[in-house]
Amino acid sequence: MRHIAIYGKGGIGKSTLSSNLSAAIAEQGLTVMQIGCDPKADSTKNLTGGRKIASVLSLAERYGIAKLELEQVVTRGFNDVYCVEAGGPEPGIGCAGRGVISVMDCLKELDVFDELKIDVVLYDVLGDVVCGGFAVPLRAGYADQVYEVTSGEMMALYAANNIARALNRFGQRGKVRLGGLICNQRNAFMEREAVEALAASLGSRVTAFVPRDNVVQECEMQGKTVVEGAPDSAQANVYRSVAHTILTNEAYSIPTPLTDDEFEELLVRVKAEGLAA
Amino acid sequence: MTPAIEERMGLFSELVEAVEADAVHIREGLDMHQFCAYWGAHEIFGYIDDCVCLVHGTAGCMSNRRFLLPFGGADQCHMEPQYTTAFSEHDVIFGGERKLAEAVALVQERHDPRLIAVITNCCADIIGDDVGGVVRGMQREGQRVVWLHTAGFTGKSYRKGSEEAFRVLAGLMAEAPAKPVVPGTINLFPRRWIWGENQKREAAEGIRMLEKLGLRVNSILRKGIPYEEFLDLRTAEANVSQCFYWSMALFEEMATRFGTKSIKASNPIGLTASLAWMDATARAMNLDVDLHDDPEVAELLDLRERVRARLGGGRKAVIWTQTGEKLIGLAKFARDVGLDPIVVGVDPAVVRDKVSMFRKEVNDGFDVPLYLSNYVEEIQELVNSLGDPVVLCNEDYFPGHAVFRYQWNDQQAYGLAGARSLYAEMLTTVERRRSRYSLLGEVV
Repeated sequence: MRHIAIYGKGGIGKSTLSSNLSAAIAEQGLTVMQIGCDPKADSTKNLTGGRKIASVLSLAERYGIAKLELEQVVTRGFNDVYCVEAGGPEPGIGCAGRGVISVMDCLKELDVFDELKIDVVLYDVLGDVVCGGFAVPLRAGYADQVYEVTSGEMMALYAANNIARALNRFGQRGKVRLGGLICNQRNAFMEREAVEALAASLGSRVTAFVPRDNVVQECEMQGKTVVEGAPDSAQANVYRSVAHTILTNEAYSIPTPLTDDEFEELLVRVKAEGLAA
Repeated sequence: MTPAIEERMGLFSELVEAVEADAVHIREGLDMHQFCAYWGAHEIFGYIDDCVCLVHGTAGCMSNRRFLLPFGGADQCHMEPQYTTAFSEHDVIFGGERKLAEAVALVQERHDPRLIAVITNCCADIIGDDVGGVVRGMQREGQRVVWLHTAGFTGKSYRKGSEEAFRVLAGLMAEAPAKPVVPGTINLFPRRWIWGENQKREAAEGIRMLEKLGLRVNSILRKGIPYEEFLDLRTAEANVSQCFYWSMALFEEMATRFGTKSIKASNPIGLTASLAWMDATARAMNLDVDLHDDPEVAELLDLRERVRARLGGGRKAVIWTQTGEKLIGLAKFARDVGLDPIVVGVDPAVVRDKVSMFRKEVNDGFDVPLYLSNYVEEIQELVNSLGDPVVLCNEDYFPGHAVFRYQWNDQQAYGLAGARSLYAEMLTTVERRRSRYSLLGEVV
């Protein structure tokens, strides 16, 4: 069983990428579970016809977490991808990080991975919230491979470097490794160069460049992944290709994150090279 | 003394200076006597009869408090109502604000007290519940709802918690309709963390000492004081305490808000300290009182001479206590009976927590030799090296020695009556060596 975590800055396209990867991996005949670790609880929406499923924490609030059954917390979506949403409290109250911990404990207690004979688990994790709860998928017993979604924009790159810091720590304690960076292209200035430069500095590589394509929004408006809504499109093939790359990837590393000063220098250098060119 | 022991000797003032200079490595969490701000605040609000304490957070802190002796579990059921929002994991994740509002409403429905004091423990403060936002505006007519963030993990000590609670209460006094100050009246803050008959005896002795000076006691801060009476503390001309450093924050607040005189005398343990306590009080109240011809004082002087003669002048005393007030009080008491004290087992964390108190005492001329030790064996080594000292401690680690046990929960210690009681105990101590065949000795 593979446990793959997708981390990245909020709004960078993690859920879009995760749900398309889940759909593409499931196309290959593998049993996939996608776990959304974001209080918004909309990671799997495009796998379930555009409707948000009940999150584990919303069910826990109603029934008590110890009383939840597997059938309640897992919803079967497109291509038979099993969908789980952690959920969380309302903004500004409680502790969403503790919620993630609690949900992971619940899934373990229910033995969902073995019960459902899961081949690939995809964790879609909010990456710019840096408390310990959101790092749970990085800890022992959960994800062993991490992909960081970024664009060429500064804040997305900054978040990627930050996540690399956590990975550096957890990687030294356990088996979790960085599989690479996935660039969700925004057509920013010197985007490819900036993402490649950061990946190299981290001691990793760019796993894929995902081009920007309006078909993604069109499918999302129908509540579908691109793999489902536009299966013959070039974009669907991009996701299939990324899925294949991830499943066959053998290059993992414990990243070497940059200090804030080094990070600034890297961006300045890339920008200067772009201007000179 | 052996060279190894001499190497560990210093002065208490040096430790205070080192702590002030941040030159002592203090291991956090070792100060078992101090607890955290939650406990301090809970104790203060717990004094007031018409106040219900509501603990926001997990239930354990409140449950433990009910069983701890100093908080009233020694000889009677703990009957004062207290509530907790009893956090579960669910509340940690989703926040406990709604539960808090429900709990306040429940307290109002069941008790409708004059005061509801919401204090937090670690869990609620870690997740950042907006306690003030929830309870502000919930109070009913004639009722106040106050709140304090008292989570121990923030580093707030027991002392800090009690100070903050006192400040909140002083604020409530200031909001109450103004009342005139009655000249010649004084509030007494008696010895705390005792109970039953001895508590009554100590308070009665405090009153007797004040009345001996011609003063009238306005009120005594005691467990079960009615809310209105607490507010009326402000009508006294002055405040005096048997343990000044505990009540200092309220004294300061009342001095600032109402001009209440703050008498800084403390620890009337033994005749010298008791007379000093009365003298400081008399001076603060502009009274000219001479107690030297007082027959009771004369009788105690005689008794003290007998104690001094029996002990032998200049005999060493080893004082082992972690708490600051007792350290100062016992060192002064030892000198009162002609002993030459050395203090041991002083926790630097206590010095740091109460550094302003120790600084004042040092500035006022107090100092005492200090022996640095990590283990009881080292203290035993010191005691054995001193020949035949008197050991003042509350443990039975010194078989064969004269041990004056200061576990005074049931023994009167303060004031003139306290001096009489302590002198009698000291005479008994000298005659009664600890058994060399104590259980501890056998086990060791």
